[in-house]
Amino acid sequence: MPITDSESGREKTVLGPCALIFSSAQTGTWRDVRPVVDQEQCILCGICEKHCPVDVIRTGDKKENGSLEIDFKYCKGCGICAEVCPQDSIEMIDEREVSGEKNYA
Amino acid sequence: MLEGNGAASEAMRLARIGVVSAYPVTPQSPIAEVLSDYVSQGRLDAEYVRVESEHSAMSVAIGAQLTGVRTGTATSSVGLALMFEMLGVAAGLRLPIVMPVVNRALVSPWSLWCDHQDSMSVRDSGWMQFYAEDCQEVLDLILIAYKAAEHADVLLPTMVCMDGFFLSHMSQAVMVPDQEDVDAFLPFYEAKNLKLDPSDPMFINNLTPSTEFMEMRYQQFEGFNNASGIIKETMAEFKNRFGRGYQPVEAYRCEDAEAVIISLGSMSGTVKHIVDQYREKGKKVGSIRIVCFRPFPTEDLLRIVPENAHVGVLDRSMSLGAQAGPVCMEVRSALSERRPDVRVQPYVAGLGGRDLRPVAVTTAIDQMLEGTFNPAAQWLDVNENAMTIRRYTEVA
Repeated sequence: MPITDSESGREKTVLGPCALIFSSAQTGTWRDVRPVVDQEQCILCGICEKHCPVDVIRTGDKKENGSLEIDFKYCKGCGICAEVCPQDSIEMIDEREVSGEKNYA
Repeated sequence: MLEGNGAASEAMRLARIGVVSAYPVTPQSPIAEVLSDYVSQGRLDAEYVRVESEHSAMSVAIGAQLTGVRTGTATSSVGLALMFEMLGVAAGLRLPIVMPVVNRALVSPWSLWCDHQDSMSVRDSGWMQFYAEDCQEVLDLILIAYKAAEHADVLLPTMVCMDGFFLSHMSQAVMVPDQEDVDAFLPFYEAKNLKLDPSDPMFINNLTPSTEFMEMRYQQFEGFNNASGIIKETMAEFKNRFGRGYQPVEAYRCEDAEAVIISLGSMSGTVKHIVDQYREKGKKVGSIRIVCFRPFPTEDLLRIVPENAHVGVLDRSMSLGAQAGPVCMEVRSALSERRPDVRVQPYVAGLGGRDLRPVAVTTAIDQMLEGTFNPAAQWLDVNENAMTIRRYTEVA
C-alpha cells in the first residue's frame, strides 16, 4: 500500500499489514453468486433494502436516482434480496460470470 | 575472556540497543542480567523493561521497534515456545529485531541443557537463523545480523543461536571491537518500514483479508530471497572492517572427501577435530557447517558438497514422525534434484545436553566410509537399554 510521507510528501510503499484508514475486511470477496437487478422492472419499493442482513442496498428517490445500488465490497451474495423481491427483478448469477475466476482481484 | 552469554550482551551493547525487554530463563539469564547491569551502570543508554513473560518480552520489543528504536531481547527453550505467537508478529510486521537464542531442549522431559529443538521448532516463523560455533562468533554474528536484518530489502527478524552451556557458559577469549568501529559498521537505527508515530497515526497488524494475505507472505518470501545475497555482502563488509570472515556455509577439508558430516553450532568443533584425525590416517573425510540456516544456503551447499560424497547430517533435534531431523530434511531437499550423485544419511545426536562424544561422530563416519546407508534417522550414542531405563518392580 503506498502511503505518503507527511514530511517529504513522497509516496512510499510499506511492507506487511498496516492501514491508514480503518476499514472492515471486504467480505464481498466471499461471494460466489451476485445479485443482478433489472432496473426497468424494479419499483424501488425498498423491501430488499430492509431485508439485507449486511445493509449494503440503497434505494434512492426514483426521481433523483433511478436505480437500486448494491455495495459489492461487502455483499456476500446471500440472495435474500432476490427472495423477497415482489417484482422478481433480482437474479442471482454466478459471480465468475462477472469477475472471472479471480473474484478477489 | 567472555562466555557466550557475555559475548551476546557485549554485541547488543555495541549495537546501542535503545530498549531491552528480556525475561530470564536458563541458560539465557546472564544476558538479561548483564544487560540490566549495563543499563544501571550507565554503560548502555537504554530503557530496561521488566516484563512478566517471554510473550510480553517479544511484545514490548515489537512495540518499541515499531517506534523506530533498535531493541534487544533474548530467550531459550520454553521461553521461545511462549513467544511463538509474537515471533510471527515481529516477522509479519517486518521488524528487524535480533534475538540471541540460547539453545536448550524443549519439554518434556524437563531439561535445562542443550539441543536444537527450540529454535528448530520455529524455523518457519519468518525469522532468519544463524548458528554460532564459538563465543567470538556469537558476538560477530549478532552484529552481522543487525546489519543484514535492517537492510531495506531484507527487514526480517533474526535469531542468533548458540548452544546452551556449551557456548553460553563457556569462557573463551573474545575480541570485542571498539564502539566507534561498530558505529561505522552499524549506523544509528532508522525504521525503514512501518513506524508508530502519534502525529501520523496508522493501524498496524489489522485484520487482513485473503485478498492481501498471500501477497504479504510473498513479501516475506522475497525478503528471504534477498537476504541470501545481503548476508554474504554484510559478512564481507564485516571481514574488511574487523578481519574475521564468515560464510553462510563453511566447508572444512571437503576437497575430494568421500564422507562429509554436516552440523550446526558448537558440534562442528568436535566434528572438525575428528576430521583432522581421519585425514592424518589418509581417510578422505570432511566437515560442512551451516552457519545460516534461514535463509537456507542451498546454492552454496550444492557447490560445496564434494562429488559422489556420502553426506551424514548430525541433527541435534528430531522431527518426530518424520524420517529425519530438520537439518537433514533441508539438506536432502536442497540436494535431491540437482545432486543425484550424493547420498544423505540422517543422524540424531546430542539431545538434552548429551555431549557429542567423539564415538558418536566416528560411528557415523565409519558407517559412511563402509558405504552403509539407511534412509531413516540413525540415533548415535543412545544407550542400548533406552526402552527400559526406568523399570520398576511393582509393590503389591
